[in-house]
Amino acid sequence: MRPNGRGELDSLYFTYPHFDAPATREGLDRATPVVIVGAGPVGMTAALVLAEQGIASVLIDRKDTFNDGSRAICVARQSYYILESIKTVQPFLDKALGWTTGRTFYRGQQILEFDMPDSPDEKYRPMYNIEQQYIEDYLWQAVAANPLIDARWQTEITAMTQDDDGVTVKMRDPNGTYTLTAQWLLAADGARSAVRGMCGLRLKGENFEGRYVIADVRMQHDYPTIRRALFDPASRPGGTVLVHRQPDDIWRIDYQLKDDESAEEATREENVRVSVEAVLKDIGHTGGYDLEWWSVYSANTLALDDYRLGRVFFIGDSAHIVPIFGVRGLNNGLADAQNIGWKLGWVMNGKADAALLDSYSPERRGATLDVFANASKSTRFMTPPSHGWQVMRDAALSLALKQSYAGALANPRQMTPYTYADSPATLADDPDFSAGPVPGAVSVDPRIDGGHLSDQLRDITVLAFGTAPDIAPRDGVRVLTLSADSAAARAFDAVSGTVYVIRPDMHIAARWRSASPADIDAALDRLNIRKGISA
Amino acid sequence: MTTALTLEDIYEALATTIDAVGPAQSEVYLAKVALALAHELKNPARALQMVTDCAADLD
Repeated sequence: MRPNGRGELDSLYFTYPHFDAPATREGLDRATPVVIVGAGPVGMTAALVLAEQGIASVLIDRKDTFNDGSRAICVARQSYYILESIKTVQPFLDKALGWTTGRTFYRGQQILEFDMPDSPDEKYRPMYNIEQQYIEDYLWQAVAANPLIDARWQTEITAMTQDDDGVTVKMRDPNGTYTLTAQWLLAADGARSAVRGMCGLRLKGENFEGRYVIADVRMQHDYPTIRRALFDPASRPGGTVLVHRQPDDIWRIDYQLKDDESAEEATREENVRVSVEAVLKDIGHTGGYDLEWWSVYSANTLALDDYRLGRVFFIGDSAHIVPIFGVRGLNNGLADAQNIGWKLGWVMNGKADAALLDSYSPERRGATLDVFANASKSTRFMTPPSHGWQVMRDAALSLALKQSYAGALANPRQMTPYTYADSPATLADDPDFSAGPVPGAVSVDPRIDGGHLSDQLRDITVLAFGTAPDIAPRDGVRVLTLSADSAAARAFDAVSGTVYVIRPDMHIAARWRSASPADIDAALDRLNIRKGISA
Repeated sequence: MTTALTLEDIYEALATTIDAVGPAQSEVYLAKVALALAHELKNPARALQMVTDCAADLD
């Protein structure tokens, strides 16, 4: 919502584009390898990941522009690697505000300062703040320039069927209707996914009672890019407030609604202004401000039982709704897009067997359940769901005023990449290792050759230390050999003969402190990577 | 001359402090005490066992 007199897309700092429905009707019903429903950040990323592998897609969205408002604003380090892989990271680096530090206050007093893991040797910062419009805009620039992606706005799916050969969808836009067939469908159509409904599926899980207003203001406010969490502040006695800095002098203020506050009342402009001004007083801002945009959300944990139904894969919010604490909604959506994107690409290009796709749902649903476990802890602290949680929260905060160890209980668990430990595509660890990334975890990215290891990762990398293993060649599998006496070797706890298998999404598939070619072959078989080289 | 403190001293201090902070705050106060003692104990498994055990025989 926006202040009285301004339209829904009338932003103080962003000009929303307008996208027409397809005017030329010829070819709209031509069969496509993949149809992607929803051109938000997740759908666009999926299309770009597929296009990187030469796979064409039709990308549809019912809207005629981007999502309104700043929405998801925190992009995590691993998402930057995803953006790099689809060659769109530069505008994000130019625009976003990187950050490492969070501060927690109780009744105006700082009780905790935490730093997310970071060092000058890291390629990207642990977190970046950027408004979602820019995220969509930068992805859109890449989508629009890509000849493999056929984006169709003002287009919605009205019916869907599937069989062993593919998916048939009925499309409707203001200029007409048509039927389109595809081999695969990716449902990136958000929390109220139409595809999910057509498949007869629904999200399951807990509903937390906590409701928050998120409001953006523009103001000249001198404070670094540090996430502030205010517990029981003067502005919201008994409640919680979060303050984030964004580019363009935009500041995000989230505040919790009391049980007896109606969302309708709380989101009226005059009430938003009263609440925002009280928070600004809390953080010592004495200058003026412009109200930009606001919305209301509930802290939910909901997910599908299975992120796949035949030839349909659910990615992003269509598969899972998570509380925003810990910024996992967008970041996990991007990870979904990358995960199914590379796997579909490998299968469609004949480099992997279709069984590879079976690992999508276990891996990404596992990530969601991990988010739930962590986010639920954060949510229970931010919005205690019962008397017991309230008592312990208040006790921890009160104790933290004098005892720093108790402040750690208030640490919001931020996004960290999930380890696919239970995936069918992950091999058991070699107990000879005492450090380094375990199978299923995302790889470390040490400096090598004046850059980073990730600069040299493509497709599936067999990363060997000391000597190159003598393995039979396969399409898309590359051997990269590094010195066994190097900083990189130490980061992997490697000695001469150590091998890691690194997937296209930088997750470790397998590792051996002392590898044999047979070990590596077996691991690639387990990943369903096909043997041999195509002509 | 000071005498060595005993469990009875803790018992009495808790009783008087529960009264001093009043019924509205006594529960949070006791939770704070429990967290602080658990931290000092430096034995999370033992502390967790005591948290569970203390739920017995309340009626």
